[in-house]
Amino acid sequence: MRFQKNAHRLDDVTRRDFVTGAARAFLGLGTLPLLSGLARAVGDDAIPLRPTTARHVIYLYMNGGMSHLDTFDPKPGKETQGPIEAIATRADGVQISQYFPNLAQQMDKVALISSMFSSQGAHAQGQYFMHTSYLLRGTIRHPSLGAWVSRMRGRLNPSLPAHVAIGGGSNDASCGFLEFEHAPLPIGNPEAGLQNSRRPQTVDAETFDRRQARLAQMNDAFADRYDQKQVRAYDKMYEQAVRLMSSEDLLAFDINQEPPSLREAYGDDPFGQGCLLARRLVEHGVRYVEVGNGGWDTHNENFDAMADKCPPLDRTLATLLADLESRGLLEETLVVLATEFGRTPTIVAGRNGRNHYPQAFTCWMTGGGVRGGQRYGRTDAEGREIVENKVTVPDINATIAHALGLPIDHVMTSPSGRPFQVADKGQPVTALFG
Amino acid sequence: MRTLRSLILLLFLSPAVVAQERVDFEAEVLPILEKRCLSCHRAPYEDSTGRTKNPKAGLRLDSRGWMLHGSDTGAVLVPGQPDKSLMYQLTVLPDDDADIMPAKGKPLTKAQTDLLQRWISEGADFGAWTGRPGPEVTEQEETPAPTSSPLPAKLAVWKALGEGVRPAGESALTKARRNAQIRLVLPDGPLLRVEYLSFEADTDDDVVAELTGFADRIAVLRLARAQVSDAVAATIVRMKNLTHLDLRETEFGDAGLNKIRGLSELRSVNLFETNVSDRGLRALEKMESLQDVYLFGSNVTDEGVARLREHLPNAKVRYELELPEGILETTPNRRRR
Ligand code: HEC
Repeated sequence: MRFQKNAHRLDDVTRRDFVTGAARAFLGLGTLPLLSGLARAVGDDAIPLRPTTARHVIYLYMNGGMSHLDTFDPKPGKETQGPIEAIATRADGVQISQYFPNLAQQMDKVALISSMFSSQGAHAQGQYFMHTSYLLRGTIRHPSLGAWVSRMRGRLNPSLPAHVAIGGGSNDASCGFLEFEHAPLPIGNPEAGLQNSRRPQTVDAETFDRRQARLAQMNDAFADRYDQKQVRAYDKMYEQAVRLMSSEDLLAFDINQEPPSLREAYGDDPFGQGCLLARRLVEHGVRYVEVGNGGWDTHNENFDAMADKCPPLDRTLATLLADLESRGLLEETLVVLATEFGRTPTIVAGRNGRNHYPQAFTCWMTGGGVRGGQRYGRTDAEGREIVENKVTVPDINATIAHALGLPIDHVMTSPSGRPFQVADKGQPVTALFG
Repeated sequence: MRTLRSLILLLFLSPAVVAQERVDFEAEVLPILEKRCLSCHRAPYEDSTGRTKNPKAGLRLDSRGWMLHGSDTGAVLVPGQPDKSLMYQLTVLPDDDADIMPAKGKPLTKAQTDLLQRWISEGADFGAWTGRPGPEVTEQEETPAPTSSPLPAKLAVWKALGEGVRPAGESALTKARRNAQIRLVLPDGPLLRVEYLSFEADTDDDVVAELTGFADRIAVLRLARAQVSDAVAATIVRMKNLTHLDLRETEFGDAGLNKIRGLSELRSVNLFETNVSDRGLRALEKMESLQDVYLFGSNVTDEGVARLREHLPNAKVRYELELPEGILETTPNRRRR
């Protein structure tokens, strides 16, 4: 019994190695995940539909736990606030930190959720929870929301993956127990775009086609012998990868197509350029793009760190929202800013730091049918406790799923037979919409 | 006569289906839990060394209240739905699965898991049994009724428009699908969304003309980056129920706009980086249904936009990339094609 199980695992690895190895050799492709779902992209979806207000998500992940008091839930005049001041915004009665003057001009579009609550106070667990709605526990690995979207909705653009993750940092965007094709296409450096996806210069088109034909023969033989779901999925990868290689859609990955002035406005750093890439991808029909922004774990010298980190973030966010708006993309693109937890209202003496604080923090959403200019939920006068409309981690994921029309009560079973739902038992915050 | 005989046969042959009694929790299910689960899933207690033992995963199966309350991570019992009830699902995992319950010893027998499954299917009736006191009431937060909220305005419009439309044009639709992605805008209505993602370079006025056979079913048309010209307006103008039109980054211009001025349901028109100028905007002035107009990167001027805003005071007209002050001046990035 045990032997068989291990043998099975080994077999999995070999097949994956075979495929990615071969993909690299024949196609010059690195870690391109399986890109199936062509049929689904042009047909009706298999999962029951719900009406949707959003078709795309840009998920901005603040890695490390972003301080709520110093960014989007300031408590002016209170001891817990420290030296950072609050400023008014274009939304009536909504104040944010002095470090976001540009974003303040657009808060009429944004719905802040200031009553976020997590049960997880450590990074790995908190990030996992935020991405999957389930606790990191036991042997099971849960799909992140982007993978659920890919699985339940398939692609919009038949040539592009449904799910992309830009920038390092959190590794929690993952297909979990779902098929590998729902894993995000990882892009480490937004300026380099998709590496190695063009036909190598040294291979002319005819040779390339011949190689493809030979590969197809090999594959048929392989697939005949191992006619398993996974093998068929890998097979599809070649087909899809070749399609992508010759496609105009590859340009979606190339931010050098953008005017220098706009690139500059987004900010000359990986997160800024990553957001610009996210916009291009959404424009070309990618459904779910995560962009990571690290460095928020401010145990020491929290206020110096805020002075460094917030202004570039402000610039990027303000430009992203304005750019999406001017192109008409904000109507159907939900932009979410999320983090795993907030930071302690009590300032740690001696090192001017703030520690992990999962019992109250702020996330926000805009676009995709969200009614902006509101602060949903509230913390007390010092930012310590939630006093109104608690929103749990599964709830915020259920809210995103709701906007995308995913059936949140649809049960899918993992290969081991356990039932799972897209946001566990989370309930959408419908007050954010309409 | 025949049917009567088969009915009798059926009654006779399948007593399990017809005459099965409801599961008695206390007599049948509880003994299984007591024997196989409670050692790990019961109220905190002190073991022989004096250490407090908490229930595994925060889950207690020794009381009705706790069972319905669930574990640290949420519900484990959903009356009527064994497929959503972890306390059943985990007992039927393959026996080499690390998550199988009970976590120690032999798996439950098929008869035992079937019983559990039936009890949950029948609504998880505990009879008179309550077991140990349940959690305090404050912990049992009211879960809001699942999403029966009213449709957002946009979706309500599609619902209303769809009512007068027959879901005709299936054969034309099948043909058009070779070049376009076509989906329903609402799961239970006839209206469609059509787009040409990845096929932009091959999508010209003739390809779009394939939509004519079911034009009145189209609510959303996305032609972004397609090779279409003003001539495509001849097809678009037939789409009486069109609410959203996206012509971003195409050669569409004033003549085309003039032709589609009769579309009375249009809510949003995206003319970002098109050839449209102030002259074309005149055509939009009477289109009172418009709520969102995108003109950044087109040939319109300040005066043209001001005029349009005057005529359509309720519409949001975007004409500039409104970068917040102080970031930098950005000029429209026109004509990159
Ligand atoms: C030997 C101890 C033990 C026994 C006996 C046992 N369990 Fe468990 N159970 C555990 C542990 C440990 C966990 C937590 C597993 C983890 O965290 O991965 C658990 C978790 C669970 C969970 C999942 C809770 C959640 O939300 O993840 C359920 C449901 C469950 N058990 C049901 C049962 C049932 C039903 C039985 C009897 C048929 C049973 N258990 C018998 C130890 C036990």
